[in-house]
Amino acid sequence: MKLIPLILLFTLTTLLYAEIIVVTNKNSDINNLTKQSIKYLYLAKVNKINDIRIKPFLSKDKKLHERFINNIIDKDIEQYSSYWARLVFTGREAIPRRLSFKEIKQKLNEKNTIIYIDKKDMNKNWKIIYEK
Amino acid sequence: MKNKSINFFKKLVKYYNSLSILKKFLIPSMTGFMFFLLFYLYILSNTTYMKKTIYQINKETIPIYETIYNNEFLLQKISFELHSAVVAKELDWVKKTNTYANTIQKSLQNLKSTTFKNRIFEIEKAFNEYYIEASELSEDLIKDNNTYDYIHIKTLLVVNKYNKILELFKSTREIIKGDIKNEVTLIYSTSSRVLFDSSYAFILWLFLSSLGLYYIYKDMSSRIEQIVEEAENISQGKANFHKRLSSISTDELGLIVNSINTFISKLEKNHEDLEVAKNDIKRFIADTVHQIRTPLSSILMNAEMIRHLQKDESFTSYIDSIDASINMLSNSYEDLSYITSSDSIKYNPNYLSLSEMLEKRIEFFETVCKMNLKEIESSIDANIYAYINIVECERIIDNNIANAIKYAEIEKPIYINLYKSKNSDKIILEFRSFAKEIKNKNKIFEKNYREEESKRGLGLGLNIVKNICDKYNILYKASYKDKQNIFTYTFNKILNDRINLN
Repeated sequence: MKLIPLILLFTLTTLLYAEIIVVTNKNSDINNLTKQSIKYLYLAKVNKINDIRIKPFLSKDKKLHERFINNIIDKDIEQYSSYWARLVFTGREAIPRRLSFKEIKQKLNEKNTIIYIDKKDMNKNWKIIYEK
Repeated sequence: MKNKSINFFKKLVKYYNSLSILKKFLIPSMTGFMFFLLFYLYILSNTTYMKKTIYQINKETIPIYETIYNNEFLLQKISFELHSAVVAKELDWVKKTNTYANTIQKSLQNLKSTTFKNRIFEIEKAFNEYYIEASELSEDLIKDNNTYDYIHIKTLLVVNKYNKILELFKSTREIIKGDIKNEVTLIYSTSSRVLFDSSYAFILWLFLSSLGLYYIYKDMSSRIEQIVEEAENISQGKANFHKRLSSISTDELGLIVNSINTFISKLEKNHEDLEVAKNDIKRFIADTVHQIRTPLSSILMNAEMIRHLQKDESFTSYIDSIDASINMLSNSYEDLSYITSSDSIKYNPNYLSLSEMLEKRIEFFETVCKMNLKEIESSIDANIYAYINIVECERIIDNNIANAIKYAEIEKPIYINLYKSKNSDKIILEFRSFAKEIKNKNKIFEKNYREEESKRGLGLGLNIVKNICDKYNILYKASYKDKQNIFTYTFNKILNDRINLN
């Protein structure tokens, strides 16, 4: 009887914190990326991996975004915003576009564009290049 | 064109000839001065240009460069401050960047009057656009907590504006650097050119002025030489009275040349008068000589006859006196006769016995010696021959004996020697007499020269001797040794086969 609340909590947590994956068009030249590579791409430290120009996008889903920043980029949201503000004001890079899921679907039709999504939203036209 | 050049050159030469000596020598200096003046203007224009360029660099280019550099720094400061404001979420900090923005705007305002005004306007516009966008973005980021939808577009705009302004700053700095480099290079090349041109101009001026001075010097010296030569000719009586000195210039030398030409003209007239007088005198002497010849021969013969025919011893001294006088007169007569006839009669040389000739002439002067209380002691080698005209040989011997009798101390011997030199094949004829030493042994052979003015004579004897010696290359010399005046004549030896032929 005592296990029921625990099971419910686990199920809720799993639902709330669904697995984040980084995806791209299935025809993209990239097949997988390390966490470090993804970090570098989202911090605009590089824009190419193995000579392939990669365009990262952000999600408009604030929670997903925050989870991605916290878990994959290893920064809190303030740090990430501050980091980008510095890049913007020093003219180095603009903040990546934020996309709704609908926009994500459209954008991922393009090769070599990447974005993080919930694994449950995976589409057959995409491929996972990183999974935590 | 060619004729014009020739005419111009002629005019130039005419002008040069019309100048005084001072002005002629001033030509190179004045030309050099004019040249220097032009060159001064050239250097002045170049240095003025360099000065203006340096002023431009100091006054405008470098301040613009500094302003741009400072503005770049301020821009970075603004971006840093905006970033800090976003991080700190402090709207006030965004407003504080106005100070930096105002400084940039003010500094750009000051540069609007410079040659870079178009670019400054562009920078100002780009900066204002950036600053507005960046400030707004900062405020939006702070207010909306980084979550608003169009952040990507805004940040893209700010990045582009920032990069644009940065690129404008950078390109402006590059342009200014390029301008400074070009201007410094231009100053360097101008100064190098001025330096090279100065050296070249100096060498050219030195060469041309030296050439000019040399030409003027040669012109002057040749004309002075001509004047000196003509003056010397006049002084030596060799002037060509039919020739005049050329005078093309009107300077001081030209005036001297004109004076000399006038002088020569007057001399020519006097010379013509003198020539007439000389010819008259010559004719008179010739006539006189001719008139004297017959009576003198008659006197000589009759005196000889009297000496032989009269037996009264008491007349002997008178007859000797007459005889001596006639002989001396005869000597003078022969001198005169030779002088008046030497330029009209050709005295051809013959091989004659100098020994016999000398014996005969000593005999001729025997009575004269006796009457002058002098005695000739001769030492004559036999069979010595000379290739000389008999009259001219007689003039050499007679004049030397007559002079010895005239100037030698009384009751002292006069030595006459004729011998062949032991050291060479030369023949030496020597006249020695005890007398006062001849003061000027070189001048003694000159025409009309007398050692003692008190002793009257024609002053022609030794000059006749000298001319004859010159004619036959006979060396003549007057010397003094053992209280004796010695006149030595050195004849070249004649080969025996020549003597035999005659």
